[in-house]
Amino acid sequence: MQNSSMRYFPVWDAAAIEQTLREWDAAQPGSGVLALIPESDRVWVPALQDLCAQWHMPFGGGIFPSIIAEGGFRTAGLWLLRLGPSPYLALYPDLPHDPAGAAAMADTIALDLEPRLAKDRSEATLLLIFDALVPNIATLLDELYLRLANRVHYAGTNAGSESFRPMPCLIRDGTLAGNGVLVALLERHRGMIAEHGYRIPELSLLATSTDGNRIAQIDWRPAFEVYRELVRDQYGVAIDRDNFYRYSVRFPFGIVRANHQALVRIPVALDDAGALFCIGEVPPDSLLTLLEAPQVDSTHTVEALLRGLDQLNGESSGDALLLFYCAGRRQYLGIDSATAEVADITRRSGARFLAGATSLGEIGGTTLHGYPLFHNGALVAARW
Amino acid sequence: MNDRQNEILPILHGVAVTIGNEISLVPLLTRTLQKLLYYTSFPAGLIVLELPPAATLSGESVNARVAAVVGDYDLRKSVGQSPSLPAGLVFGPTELKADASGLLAALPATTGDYRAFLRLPIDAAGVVLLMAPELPESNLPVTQMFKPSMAQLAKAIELCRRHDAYTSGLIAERDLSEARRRLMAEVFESSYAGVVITDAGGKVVAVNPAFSRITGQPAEAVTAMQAESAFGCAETDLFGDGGRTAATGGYWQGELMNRRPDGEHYPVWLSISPVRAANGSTSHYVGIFSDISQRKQAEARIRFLAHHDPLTQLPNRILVRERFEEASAVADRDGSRLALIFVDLDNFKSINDSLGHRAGDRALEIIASRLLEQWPEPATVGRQGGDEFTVIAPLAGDDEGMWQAIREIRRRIAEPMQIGEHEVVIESSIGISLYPGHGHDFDTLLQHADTAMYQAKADGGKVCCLFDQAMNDRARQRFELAGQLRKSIEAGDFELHYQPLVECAGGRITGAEALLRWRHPRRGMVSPVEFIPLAEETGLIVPLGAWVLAEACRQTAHWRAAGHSSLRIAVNLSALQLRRGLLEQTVEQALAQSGLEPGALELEITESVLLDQTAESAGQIQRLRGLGITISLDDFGTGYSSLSYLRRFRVDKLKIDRGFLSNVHQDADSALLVRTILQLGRGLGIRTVAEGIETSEQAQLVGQWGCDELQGYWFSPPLPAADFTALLHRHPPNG
Repeated sequence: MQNSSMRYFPVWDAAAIEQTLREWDAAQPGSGVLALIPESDRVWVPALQDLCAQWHMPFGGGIFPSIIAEGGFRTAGLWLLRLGPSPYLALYPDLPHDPAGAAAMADTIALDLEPRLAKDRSEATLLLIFDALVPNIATLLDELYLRLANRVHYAGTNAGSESFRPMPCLIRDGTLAGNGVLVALLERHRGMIAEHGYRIPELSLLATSTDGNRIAQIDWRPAFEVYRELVRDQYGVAIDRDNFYRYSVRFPFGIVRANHQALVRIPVALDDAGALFCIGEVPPDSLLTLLEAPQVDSTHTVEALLRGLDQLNGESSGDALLLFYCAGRRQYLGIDSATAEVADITRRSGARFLAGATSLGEIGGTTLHGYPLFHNGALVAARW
Repeated sequence: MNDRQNEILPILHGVAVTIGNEISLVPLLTRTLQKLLYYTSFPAGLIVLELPPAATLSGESVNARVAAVVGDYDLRKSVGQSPSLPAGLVFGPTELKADASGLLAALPATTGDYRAFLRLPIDAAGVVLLMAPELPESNLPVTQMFKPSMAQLAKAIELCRRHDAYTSGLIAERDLSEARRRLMAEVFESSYAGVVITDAGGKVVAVNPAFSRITGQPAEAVTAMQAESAFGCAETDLFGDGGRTAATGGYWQGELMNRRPDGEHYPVWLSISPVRAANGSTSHYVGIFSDISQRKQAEARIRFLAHHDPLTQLPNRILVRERFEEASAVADRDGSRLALIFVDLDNFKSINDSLGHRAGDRALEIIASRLLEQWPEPATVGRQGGDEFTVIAPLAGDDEGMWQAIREIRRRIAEPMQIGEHEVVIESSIGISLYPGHGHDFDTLLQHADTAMYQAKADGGKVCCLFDQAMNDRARQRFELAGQLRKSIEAGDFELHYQPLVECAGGRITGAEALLRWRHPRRGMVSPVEFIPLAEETGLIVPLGAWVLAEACRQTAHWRAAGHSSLRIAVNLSALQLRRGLLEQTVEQALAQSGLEPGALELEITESVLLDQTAESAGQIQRLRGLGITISLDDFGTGYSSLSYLRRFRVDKLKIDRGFLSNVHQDADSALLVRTILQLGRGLGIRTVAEGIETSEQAQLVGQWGCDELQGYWFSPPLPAADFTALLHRHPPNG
């Protein structure tokens, strides 16, 4: 059984895909297409671009570590999601990494959007799909919020490879690019909810020296040196580049906020100077907490997520759900727990269809009209 | 440190780092507000500054400046403005309120569903307001924990304001400098003068468009070229540290002759100035120049006009004098001589009067070219003024060459010239003086040549004379005589003699011609032939003529009153009297003062007088005739005797010149001429008078031929008034 606006193709089937495009175009001429493609099947991107071009359908999408379909995480197949007629889709590759460049880019994105926003004053969601290796995503998000403020809801995810090696992962019509952001405006849409449910068992306050997403020092010592001691003390394991990510998901950093919730930052890489890299920035020279072996309360996460969705959309929830699930969270919880969490969401949301992908960073508010934040370790969900 | 402190400290630290990182007010407020929202989960907020004192508040709202807004799309537009804000929202202590929708609804915000706010006063004049549709969950003391942050923010605001003021000053200064720079660039680009900038070594760094326009060299062709080469001038050491400009303190100005790529030479006026580096050394040179070709041409033209006659382009008297000085110096060295030749055109005025000044000018141009052909360089031909020319010609060998040239030029000048439809013939009178024989300076020689020329004219014109001392003596005598003449007019040394006019038929005296006599105090009686031309030349004829008229009228009126009531008086008029235009007034005055009837007065004019007159003087004559005065044409037959004159100027009497009558009884041609004139008079209804009748045969003949009157020694010589009175008694006119 298939939903009318989201189709999963477990294997590349050009005829079936073309049939879907034909149906969508017939049902609503000018419809667009959003594709979620697992990293291992990215070879089909050009063929998909060709098909969409043949049908003159605006096309955007991202390549993720895996996709969520049929109740689990899949590394093959692809999702096609239907976008409304003449959808707003824009790809901004080669994002600048300096503060002034980020401000200028935010100006560009906002100016490009404003005519579209001026046409229709109804609620809309700005769906942002970043390349996960963009080092200043939080800054760009802050800059966009300065310009667009509460005119839109903010939601999004990071695409890319879970190996954290550079890879073109953003699609706009015939273009496939990296180091950028794909901007989609979901009109008459009430936003997405981000939730991670990390419980903070104990706070260890760390003085850091940071620059963007790079933590150079912790307590005035090289960051990796301190971090390695912490892992060794906790697990008796000596971490190196190869096993680093497996353990770092257990020792994420937290940016404490006044609502007793931390923004999670999972270190995902290290450099020769002993600095740690996160997906998403940490505030400069901030005091961070180290979330040592945090407990993930899946039940709370799902409840909060669904409550948030209800608040956004009311009780009249539809039968389709879009979900981005943090790859680090899946790594930390293990594939079985993660799959169970997805199943729980599907079951408790009442959604008959759930499409999604594993993400390398998530964007959204934890509450209705909350300040848009960039998360790690979170789930981001929206009615579709 | 407990967990709560561990939660608060990173937040305060984060806010403190944000505040500490900013140095300008707007980013400070925006980033701080953003950070507060980030940590508290409030989605929107604003910062209000410059609040009036709460004590002055009278209503429920206040206008205060919104300094920063984050998170609300429409409220953002209030930044920098002072909208009306609810006083209950902006005034008050730190406060967290879950339901203040009434206050918040008054904000010009995007969403109308703000219900909760957190108020954080910065200081007495500022406040941070965080707003949310629903109060964000928090277990931290948010109303208290940010107080240190607000205190820090208050200080930071003060520091940022000072920094912004300082920066604004710098920016204003920079903008001013930039404006000046742009202005200078504009001046450089649009200057009409050429500008070249060189490095310290004199190599071209930049040129402006005017440089290329003037020199013909495009900028790219001269960049890095030595500036003098770029100009195409012969100088090689003007620009650069080793050059002349550097040696004279870095400044130089002067005239250069440059050469364009096409070979054309042109003069420029160039000023070179140094540009000093901070250490005082010369970093560049700036050359500003203009093409002075036109100025030089104008100057040359002015110089030419100052020394030449604009009509003929011949040297004027100033340049002729200079040329004489040069030529005389050469003559002194060579032991040679010079001739100063003074050429005066005869009757040139008649061409101007009859054909117009344009024709006269053309005639002068032709004469000038003929003179130049005759006397090419090294001689100098100049125009002295009017119809006078001067020539300075070196003399080689004997004088024959000079005389030959003089004869030739007189012949050339007299050649007919075609001016428009008219063929004109001009004769000349020429006077010559020689250097050094007749004088050593130009003025003396010119005066002598002039004297000689006058002598030539006095000899009847159309001749040339070489100056000699006797001529000079005569000239001096004339000068002295003119002075005496002036004195005698004042002293009343003149008297009138009267020669009777007699009817041919019957011998009755009809009138008399008044003839002027000068009784010189030392020389006795001076001949009219001697002093009348002098009086004409000096203009003394005008007052003298007026005296003659007055005296003649007075005397005639006296005679008429004494019983000779038909007696008429004839008075000669000079051309100058007519030309001065006061004749009518003079005549009327004489008649009025004497009481003589106009019909008793005859005015005698010569043919040459008629020829010389303009329409104005002809009008005068006709107006006098209209008064009843008789107009006589004197010396008829000696001039053009043009019948057209007789038609144009209505005269009453023709006086046949004595020259025709002296042989009338012996010479058949003279007899025929006289008879023809007499018939002409009769035909035109004009009375005739035969002058110079000395014998009875002459008197008898003219009487037989129908002449009306005669005058001459045969009847009576001119007589003093007393003698004429006696004659009247003997031959009473009425009688």
